[in-house]
Amino acid sequence: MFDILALLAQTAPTAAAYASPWDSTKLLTREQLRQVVIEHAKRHHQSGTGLPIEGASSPTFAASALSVREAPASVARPSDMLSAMKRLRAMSKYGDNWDGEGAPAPDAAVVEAAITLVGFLSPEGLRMRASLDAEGRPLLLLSQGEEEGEVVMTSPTTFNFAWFGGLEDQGDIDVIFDGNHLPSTLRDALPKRDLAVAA
Amino acid sequence: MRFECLWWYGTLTALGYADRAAQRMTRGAMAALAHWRPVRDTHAIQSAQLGVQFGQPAGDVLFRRADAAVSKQAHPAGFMERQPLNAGPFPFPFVLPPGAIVEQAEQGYVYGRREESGGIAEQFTLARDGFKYEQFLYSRWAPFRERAALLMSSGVEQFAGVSSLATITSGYVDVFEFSGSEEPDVSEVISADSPFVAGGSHRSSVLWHTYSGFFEYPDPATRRLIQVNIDVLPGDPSGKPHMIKIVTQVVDQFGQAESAPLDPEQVDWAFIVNHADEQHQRLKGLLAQVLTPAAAQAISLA
Repeated sequence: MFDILALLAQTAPTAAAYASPWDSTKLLTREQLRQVVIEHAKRHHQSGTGLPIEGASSPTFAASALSVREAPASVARPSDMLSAMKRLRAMSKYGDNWDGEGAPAPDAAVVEAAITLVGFLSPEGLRMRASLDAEGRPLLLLSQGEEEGEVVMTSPTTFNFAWFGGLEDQGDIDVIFDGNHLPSTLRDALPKRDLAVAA
Repeated sequence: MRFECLWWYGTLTALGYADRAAQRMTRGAMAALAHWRPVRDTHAIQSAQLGVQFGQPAGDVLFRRADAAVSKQAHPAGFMERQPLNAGPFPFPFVLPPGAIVEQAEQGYVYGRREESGGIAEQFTLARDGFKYEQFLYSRWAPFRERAALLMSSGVEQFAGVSSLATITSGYVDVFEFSGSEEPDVSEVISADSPFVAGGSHRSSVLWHTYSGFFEYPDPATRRLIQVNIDVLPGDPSGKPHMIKIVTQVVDQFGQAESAPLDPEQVDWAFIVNHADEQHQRLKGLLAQVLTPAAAQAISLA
């Protein structure tokens, strides 16, 4: 999805600033406009109405996804990392039209890169769930407390990500991932741990 | 300008997010293993470890400096638990006068990172003579190596400045669990032609083990100990399944009589990582020599 945005940005007319589609008195930079449009698109997806929602709450992802806030803290649960790896490995075997609506088959190399990224993200203390987007690309849904984000693996060496709920929303597209390190641009966007030491 | 904004908006909403993957199962796919299951589903690694040991124990100053360096990294990395390393039996080389108290110096610390699920996912040990990093929720080599570097690199280089490097150790414990109702047949997992299986032992599915070890010499300064230990463990009435446990370990030893001396100036974290990378590849090769093709495919062992 984010690469579509990048493509559109390249083809769209250049301008020093744009009028906000929802408040014409407000001028936005290209980057601000992209973030605003993404946020409203996600709210639209949640509501299903196709119309921008004024005053909607922060977006959650994929209506059918399990809410990671619902599990009681006292209930032991399987490792999110292992579950995500298992799902991705299973989904890597899907064929074309796996969703019945024409979605392409996932690229095995891209899925493997996503599994590697899962390994880097696991120690960060995030709740994690793996899925595929409508393009057949690995989608990692992440959350910690009130903050949440997503990573879309776009190729074996690149991903797009967005993170919401912190001091400011963050995101980037075409982040280079060499498979040897967690890119700093993503690491820096993730929430820092609560450093209260266990007794 | 408004048209452009609406154009972006319309494109985004048309794409949407579809978490349909949760509802679909792969059709026509056959399990690689019929009756055995890798303990972690996508792989069989129950634990992975990397250790660096030095020839002389660190004195108090160096030890505390290393502990400070480790704590600085471990805490933000999620290692919220720390406990003293077991001191072991007290030495009594002499008779103590009545009422005397001998306090043994602290031997080290064990740091742990606990997952929300309750289990320890990672463990790091700082001892007077070295370091050890272990993962119990292993994913891939690269993330493992990066975590080890985060915790060990500073301390290792401090120790390397005053003590000779003795060993670099890498190892995996791979476990397969039996999930059938009939008598387990280990030949589904363990290759009958494996050079690490004592002749005839694997024909029996009852409790048995086969342990192997030998030396290699990858370079003039290194003597490499290879160990492959295979245990077949029976289940019990409580529900514990039959298990196959494969321990593979590679220990690079330095300063041996038959080896060339190791230049202490070249011992830094990059040196350690180079050896660890080689050991990782060697360990994969060892495991591949133990497993059947079906078992290797089940854990995506390339």
